[in-house]
Amino acid sequence: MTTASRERLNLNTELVTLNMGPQHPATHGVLRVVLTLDGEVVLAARPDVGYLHRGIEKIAENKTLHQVIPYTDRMDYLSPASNNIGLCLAIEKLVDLQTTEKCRVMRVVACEMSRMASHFLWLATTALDIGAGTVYFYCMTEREKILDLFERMTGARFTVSYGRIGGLSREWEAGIEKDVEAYVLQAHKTLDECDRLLTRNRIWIERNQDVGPISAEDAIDLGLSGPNLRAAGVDWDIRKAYPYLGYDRYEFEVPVGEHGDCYDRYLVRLEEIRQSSAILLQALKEYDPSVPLFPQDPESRKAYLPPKSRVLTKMEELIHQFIVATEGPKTQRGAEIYFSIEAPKGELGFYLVGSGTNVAHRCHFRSPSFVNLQGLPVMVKGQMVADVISTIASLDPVLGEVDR
Amino acid sequence: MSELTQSLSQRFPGAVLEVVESRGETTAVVEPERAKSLLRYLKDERGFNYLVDVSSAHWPDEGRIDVVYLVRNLKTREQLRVRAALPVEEPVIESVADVWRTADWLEREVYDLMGITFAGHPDLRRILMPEEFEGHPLRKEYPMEGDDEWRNYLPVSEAGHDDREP
Repeated sequence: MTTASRERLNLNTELVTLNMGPQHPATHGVLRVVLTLDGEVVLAARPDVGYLHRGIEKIAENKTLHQVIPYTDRMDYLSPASNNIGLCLAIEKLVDLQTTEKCRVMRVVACEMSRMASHFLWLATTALDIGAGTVYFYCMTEREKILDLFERMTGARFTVSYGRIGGLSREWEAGIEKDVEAYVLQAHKTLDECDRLLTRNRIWIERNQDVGPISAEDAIDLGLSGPNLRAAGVDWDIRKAYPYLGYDRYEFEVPVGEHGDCYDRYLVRLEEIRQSSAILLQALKEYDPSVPLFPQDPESRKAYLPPKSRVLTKMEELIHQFIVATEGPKTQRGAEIYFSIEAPKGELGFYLVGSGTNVAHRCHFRSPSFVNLQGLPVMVKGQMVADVISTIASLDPVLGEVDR
Repeated sequence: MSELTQSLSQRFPGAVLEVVESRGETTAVVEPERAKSLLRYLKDERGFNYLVDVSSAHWPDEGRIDVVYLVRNLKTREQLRVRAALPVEEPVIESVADVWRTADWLEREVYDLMGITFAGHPDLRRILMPEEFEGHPLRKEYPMEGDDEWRNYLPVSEAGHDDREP
């Protein structure tokens, strides 16, 4: 059907410029792609971004470090927990703050849950783009269950703002770890069902195999990250390369593709859901509800938020919480750090520069979707118009994160 | 990592102004005129095949804008930050978009929001802000609440929906 390098067909037709978007259901947000077409063959694609630009970096440079956290929810709005935990880890690296073992475990659980939710939503919408409506409902149901767990865990389903500098916004309610475990064990069933519905499905294979391919060299040169880079055959995962949150203590595999086409990106993400659930089961075993979330020794206690239950009943903790939440940690002028996490979409990096006050002088977010989207023109060149839809879907861009 | 920065100062005498080691990260502060040849050396001969990020920071009281490149060697997992200080009156540096294609959009973003010109960039246009936008929002003097941003939009009455009393 499609070949990667198709010569200009000699059909005596005029080249057509097609505007896909900015409001198109298959572009997964406000993305505009200007396509130059020869018949149905794409000669050039030019993504146009910026429609959702809200100036989050500018806002972040005018707010105290604590106040930045809710804004990160609105970047990759499909996995808010991993965004704000990533920011907290970066701030903790900048101001040199330690966290407890329990906090680390709870963060791993939140990050992996948001990875599962994000990949389930990706599978749902991608299948819908290609026309497999059933998978959409199966996967959305699974995601809904994760959001329900997030609601019990953080108080919010979607924009969770779960991270806090040095900890998390609250302790888990009693027994939720059992429910997360039960959820993970049953999510396998839905995943296997989707696997059976799609992986050997002839329509799915025809729409995905050899569509939107990219070589490993191109993927590295274009800076792709996350599942898109791994599908091209590059074994690279920040969790393995620069382990944070103690990921080196968990046993999990990094799935790597071979051809870098849409089908491999699908297989990689499917396997990542399985690996995430394996990490979740290991992390939940380490969770100990009896120890406190924040460090308790009197020396360092002043740097952390006090437990919420005491804030609402004790005068001293109320004052203490007010000071920590409004002032926050001080940064050192000129100190700069880069910290990146393996977010569901790829490498989410934070470049922070200290100002000498409690506001960051520079707060730059290296968002994976922004860089991944650069690969689109390379992938769709010489393909059919319909393949642009599956390629955009398989890249998994979130426009809130592209435009920030 | 010190072997790497040493080889940089040997290969490019006088180009590396300072090496900062802090929080487990290494930063090489370099001469902006020689930044590109240094970065090309890092890619071609030291295996830094992955450009992670291009960023910037404005220091108005010191009259400079920093361009910050973060490069990575995917094999050895080494990372190096290369920083070059540009004068705020005329911030120009050579583009590295022909060294790593990643730099294309990343440099456009820095140009758009910080106003640094990347000489030799194939397509230096605004990327996040509208094309007719004036100013560079991430400069420190740019006001947080916006700088007369809506001047392109006619007031309601001028646009033909006159709601004034007759």
